[in-house]
Amino acid sequence: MSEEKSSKRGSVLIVGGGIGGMQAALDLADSGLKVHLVQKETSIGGIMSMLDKTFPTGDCAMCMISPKMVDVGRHLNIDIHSCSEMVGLAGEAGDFTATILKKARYVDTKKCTGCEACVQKCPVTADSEFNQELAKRTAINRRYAQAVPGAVAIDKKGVSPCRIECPAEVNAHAYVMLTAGGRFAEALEVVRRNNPFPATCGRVCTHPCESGCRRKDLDDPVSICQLKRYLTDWEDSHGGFTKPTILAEKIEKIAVIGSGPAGMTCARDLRLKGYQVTVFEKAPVAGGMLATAIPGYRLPKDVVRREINTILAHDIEIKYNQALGRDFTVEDLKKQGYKAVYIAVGTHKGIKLPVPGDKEPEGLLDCLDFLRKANLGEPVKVGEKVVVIGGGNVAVDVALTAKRLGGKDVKMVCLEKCDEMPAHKWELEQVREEGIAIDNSWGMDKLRIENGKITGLDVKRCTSVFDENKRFNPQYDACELNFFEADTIIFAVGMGVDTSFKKGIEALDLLPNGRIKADPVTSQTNVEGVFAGGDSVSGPTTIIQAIASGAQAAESIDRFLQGKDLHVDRKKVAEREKYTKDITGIKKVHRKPMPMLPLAEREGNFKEVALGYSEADAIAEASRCMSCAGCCECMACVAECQAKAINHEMVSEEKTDLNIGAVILAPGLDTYKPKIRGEFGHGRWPNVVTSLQFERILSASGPYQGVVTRPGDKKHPVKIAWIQCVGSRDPHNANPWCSSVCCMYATKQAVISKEHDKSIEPTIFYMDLRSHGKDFDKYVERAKNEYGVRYMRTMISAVREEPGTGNLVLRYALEDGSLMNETFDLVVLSVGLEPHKDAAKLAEISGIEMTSYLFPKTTTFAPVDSTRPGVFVTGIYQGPKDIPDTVMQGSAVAGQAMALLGEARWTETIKKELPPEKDVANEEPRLGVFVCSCGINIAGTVDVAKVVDAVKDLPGVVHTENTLYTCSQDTQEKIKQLIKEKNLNRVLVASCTPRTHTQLFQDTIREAGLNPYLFELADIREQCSWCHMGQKEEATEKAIRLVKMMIAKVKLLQPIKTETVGVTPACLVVGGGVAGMTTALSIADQGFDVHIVEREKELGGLLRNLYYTLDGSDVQNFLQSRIAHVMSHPRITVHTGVEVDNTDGFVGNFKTTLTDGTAIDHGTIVLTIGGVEYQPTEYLYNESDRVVTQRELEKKIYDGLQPEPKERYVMIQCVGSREEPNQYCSRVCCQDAVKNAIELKERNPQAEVFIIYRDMRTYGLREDYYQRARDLGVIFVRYEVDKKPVVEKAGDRLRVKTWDYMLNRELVLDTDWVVLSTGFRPHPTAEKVGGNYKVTRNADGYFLEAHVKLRPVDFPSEGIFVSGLAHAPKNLDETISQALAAAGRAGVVLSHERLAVSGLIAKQKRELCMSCLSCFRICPFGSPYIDEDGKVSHNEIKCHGCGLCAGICPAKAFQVNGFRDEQMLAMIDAAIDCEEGGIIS
Amino acid sequence: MATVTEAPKKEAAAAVEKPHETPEGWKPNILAFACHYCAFAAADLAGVMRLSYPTGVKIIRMPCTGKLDHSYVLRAFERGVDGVFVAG
Repeated sequence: MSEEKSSKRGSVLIVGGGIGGMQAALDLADSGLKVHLVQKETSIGGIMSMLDKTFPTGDCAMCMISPKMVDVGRHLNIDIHSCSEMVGLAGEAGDFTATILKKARYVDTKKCTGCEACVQKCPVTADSEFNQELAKRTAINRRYAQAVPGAVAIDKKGVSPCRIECPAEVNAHAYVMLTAGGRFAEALEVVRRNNPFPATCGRVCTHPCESGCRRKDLDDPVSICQLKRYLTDWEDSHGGFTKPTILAEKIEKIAVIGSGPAGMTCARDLRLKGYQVTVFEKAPVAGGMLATAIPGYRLPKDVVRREINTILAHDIEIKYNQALGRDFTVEDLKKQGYKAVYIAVGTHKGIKLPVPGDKEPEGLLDCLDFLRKANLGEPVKVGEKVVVIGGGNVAVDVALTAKRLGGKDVKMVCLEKCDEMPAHKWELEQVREEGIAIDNSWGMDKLRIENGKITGLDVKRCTSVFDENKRFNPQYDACELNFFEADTIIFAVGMGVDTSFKKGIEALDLLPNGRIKADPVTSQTNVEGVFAGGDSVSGPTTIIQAIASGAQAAESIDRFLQGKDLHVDRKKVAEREKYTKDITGIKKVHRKPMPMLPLAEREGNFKEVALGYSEADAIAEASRCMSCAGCCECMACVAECQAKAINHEMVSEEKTDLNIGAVILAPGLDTYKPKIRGEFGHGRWPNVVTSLQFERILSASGPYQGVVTRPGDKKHPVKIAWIQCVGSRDPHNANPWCSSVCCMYATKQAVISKEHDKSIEPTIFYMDLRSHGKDFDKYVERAKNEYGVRYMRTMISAVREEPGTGNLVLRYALEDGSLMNETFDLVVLSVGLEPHKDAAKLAEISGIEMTSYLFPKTTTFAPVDSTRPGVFVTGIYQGPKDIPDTVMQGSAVAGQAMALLGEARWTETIKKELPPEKDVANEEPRLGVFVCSCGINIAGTVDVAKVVDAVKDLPGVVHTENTLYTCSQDTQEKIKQLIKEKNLNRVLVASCTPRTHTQLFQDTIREAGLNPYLFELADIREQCSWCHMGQKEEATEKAIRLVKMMIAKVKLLQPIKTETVGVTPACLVVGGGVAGMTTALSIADQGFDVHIVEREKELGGLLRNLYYTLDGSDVQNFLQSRIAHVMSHPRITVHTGVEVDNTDGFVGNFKTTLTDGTAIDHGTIVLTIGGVEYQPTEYLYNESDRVVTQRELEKKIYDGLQPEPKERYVMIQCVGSREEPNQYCSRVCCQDAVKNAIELKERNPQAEVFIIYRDMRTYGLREDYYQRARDLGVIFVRYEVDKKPVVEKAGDRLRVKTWDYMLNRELVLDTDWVVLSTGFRPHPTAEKVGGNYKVTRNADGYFLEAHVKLRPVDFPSEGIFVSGLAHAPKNLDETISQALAAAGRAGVVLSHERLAVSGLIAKQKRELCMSCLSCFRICPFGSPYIDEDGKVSHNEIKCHGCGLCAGICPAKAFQVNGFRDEQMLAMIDAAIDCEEGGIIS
Repeated sequence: MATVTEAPKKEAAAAVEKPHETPEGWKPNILAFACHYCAFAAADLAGVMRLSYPTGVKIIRMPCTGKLDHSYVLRAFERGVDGVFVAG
């Protein structure tokens, strides 16, 4: 507001968008500070969004948090940075620079409409984090239906190892997942993207993918290779291959020489790009090695033929019997107009070892020749005794083929040892299976030839094959010789390039071994326009390598012909980050065995040995895939997304710097993970769940739709046990602190489960019941008495599963020591809260100090300030707490940031500039109706064209059209344009729910100059297409009806003028205790005037009787400095010794008169009237000066009390608390007792201190002190309210008698002191003050906030706030937090010069009013009031537009804007077709 | 706080004396008045969760069911709807 330019930034960074972070964001943004909300997950909402209901009111958590999320999401001055983290923070309070690291969402949040069409198509599923692993989610997903931002996101963790391994980059992950889903055609399409040989590779690929498969470390790799074959089998039996459409035909001709896998891949890839391709093949058949070298029993020849035909079906020409160098030259090709040539002629020359003599003996064969003849059915003679020389895969093929061609005794002889053999293990297995011997470590010495015929082979022992450099360099032992008799010897020792093609291209450079010299990245040769690949470049490799080579060349040739750089941006999958999945705990499932042809049926034929999977087996096998990297990049989502929002190419990580004035850390919590130590069998027994899992089980949107179900067998449990303190209050094994909320949430869960299913019998096993919050004890009493929840005070020593039933047996000791076994159907572990897993890292980045428990260091007096100025901490990050305390602290940090940056308000916020509004009030209605398809979300069920037709000619409708996504940016622009072009004056969109989209469209029509209230939405998605799927006709009828009803309403809509009122920038604080002073200081620091009114003569309130805190800080010092600070603040006026006489007015414009006559104008009010301590009458308090209260003892200690040895102090808890008529916990007494007990024991360890208690409620981090008191020897004795201790006089001492439940007898303690832990009572003036301000109080007399969970410092009446003891008993740090929160909330109002009044409010026609006062009585906000003339007037500023007044008013004097009677009745009339004045048509 | 003003129940209809024969395949036309904040939101959630209910149910959004006027209910029946459902 200040005119001078501030040196401080007017913006705040909030880390964490849970309920606390959201509250802070809304408060700050509403008060003129720009907010950057950084959220690691894809959506804000935090843990609260996962909860089913909340305690103690049983409200639906999602219903409460969802509107708040929507508010945050569409706030003009809140930028949500989702999928982001803060990774650096420089600068100082007022001017920080934060570095934000944003991870890719792979979805454009601006384009995504949240229709989730992609989700239906995603083949990948993983455990849903949101549903706590009780349900599955897809890789592209929305965290939950109400997520904000509403865009989906892709869970992508890098690349799965199977994909990394494939040289041709075939996306195994994707086609396996699609196969698992039975989507065979799509799966095959994915394979074919990179591999035109799925049937071939599905049989004979060396499947490097399987070597990468993560399952190999668990059981067996997924049978990826064979799944491809299944896909082609399926295709063959389902109509065969469908030729794809070539999108862009090109005129350039390309020649491919060689029709092996490399050549054909290159040809097909180029053809798909639109080129005209001709393949030249030397042989009379196509396929290269596939056709000529691989035996039919592995790869049937008709399979190869079909595969080649499939490729040729892309309109690729092939010329057989055409050899380069023999029949044509490259020069010829160029002349014929070929623009590029790809040479992939393979290695078709078998290498032979030197043979004596110049004539080849009979019976000596080379492998390729042999295999080609066998494959092409040419005659080939095989003797009875066959020796195959070689140990590779080709040797195996040769041996098995020889066997089939009649070889009786077939033997393989090779240099290598058994484990060195280059042939694959699975190949050798078949060799052995078919009875072929392998003789290892022999090298050929010489062939024995008699009469020109082979008779055998002399061999010598090979001692080593490779030298130390792993080069082939065989060494022999000439002394160890052997002889193998043979009539046929086949060399299978290698293959080379047949260089006869060189004649066709003399300029081409070859390597000395005959291979073609080509660039390894681009496949270019030394001849311009000539490329080469496959085995003729690399030497013999694998089919998949050849395919990769062909694809690489195709890419190069395309670039070459398009004149592009051949090297840049060649993205390789293998260069991307490999994701290695954690496989611990994953169940073993072995691979489905491949059915094989029985041995007996293999003899003498070339029938295929592997028979292929059945459909069921293929799906089962594919389902073994663990989907390592999340998203499989099948791109099904991209194809499905009509909004074009998905982009798999997004940069995975991006850093940006943000300049801000303050930082708020609200990263929230993690729950303790009982799985880690296997505690109580979680993770082992399915029917043991965590409390968060149980929340999801209870939730209507959870895995079981809210039906209480146990995960193990989906049965309905009857007996449910809750085990408390799992991971909490356990310094030895887990976290030492108390998590503060578990007792209550367990109670809530027990109650809610009973509400879901009356037959449930809940039992809660606990140590101390900590229901210390406002109205919590009453809730527990109701749980016990009305819902029959059984509470058992005992610790569970063991949980075990009953074999066969899935039930769980709990073992525990009763208080008398007897051991019990009890069986339950379901066990819920009440897991504790702990700092977020990133807490330590966050603290380090933020430069703040932590406690040893990894909570940020804060103090009682400054509970939300970290050790670094300008960095504030809030919520569970600051310490375990419940939702209202978190929300409260959210407002508190907002208040602190406002106090720091108040002067820079409105400097960084944006405001929309809008054109003037057109006056349409007197125009005839001219409607624009837009019927949304929402992709297929609506159009898939509702015939949208029919809807358009049905309404387009209705009177008043000027324009009707169907739009794909009405909420998209371009449609918004179109709507604006149409408003202008066709002079539309009212707009109706028939699409989704008005709850999320109204404001968007209202803004749009306002930008086109229309009043925003001339708009309506007809919900034909959530309330029609989505709930009437498969009923197209009826759903269309309903949609037409809904649109007609809404048209009837829209025609009657009138522009609504929204009013504003001025704000007096001052605050009245009633009460000058610590809450009042803290609130006042914060508001004054924000730059507003504050008046404190204190009825006592001095400030300080109850704090004047407090001396030190649990952590040992000096309270009186703090109090004095705070008073001094208040007294000296230039903006604070203190009025002591007076009270408020009267306050009048409304938010922004209050007028108050004090009892001394002072008049104050102010915009807000904070009630901090505090409470009083209970004055006991029991336990001889008024009869003995040795019976004192804790407060009195504290004063004695502060004054220097030194206990004597053996001096005994017996403290009695819950004096005046937790029993009728004061059935509430005073929250502070347990720790006060512990605090004083520690102090006594520290002053004299020999002093004796007993604390007689009901439940020790040292919640949160206070648990440490309870532990310390026990360590110091303080003795704790429990009592029950029906057996309260008795205090008697015993001479000059006192005697306390109490029942000891452990000893099971009465305990008699003679004592020097009895110390009573007395609680709080509401302030005696609360009733009067409450009456003054028309604010309500709860049954105990404390002020009742507007909403127990989400508005903990507000009253229903705007502009009035509460903090401190006036609200409920609480600790000093909590009081200060709440006081800061009230300041933050008040700051939101005071920071505006004028307040806008909502348009959707009730309007009163005063002349109709008969002053019956019905409205006055029913209005919850006090809007109608009795005016000076005795008639009712209506204060529109207070009105919330609920319309209760309109509903009750007999004179119809009230009408609610946007819901006027004539509008409602028009809708009702349009709901059914009627004859004029008649009934049903 | 859901009040069913008149829900057509099959069993109930059978017990009561019928003024007219119910035609074959007759589907009731039901008008629902729902509070913007709760019941209308619940109806949206039903859609999000793809829960099915008869297409004869049409919802009119209210700022709060407390605003419901008797005349709306009467008008609905007068115009011939078969049932009115008020939820909030």
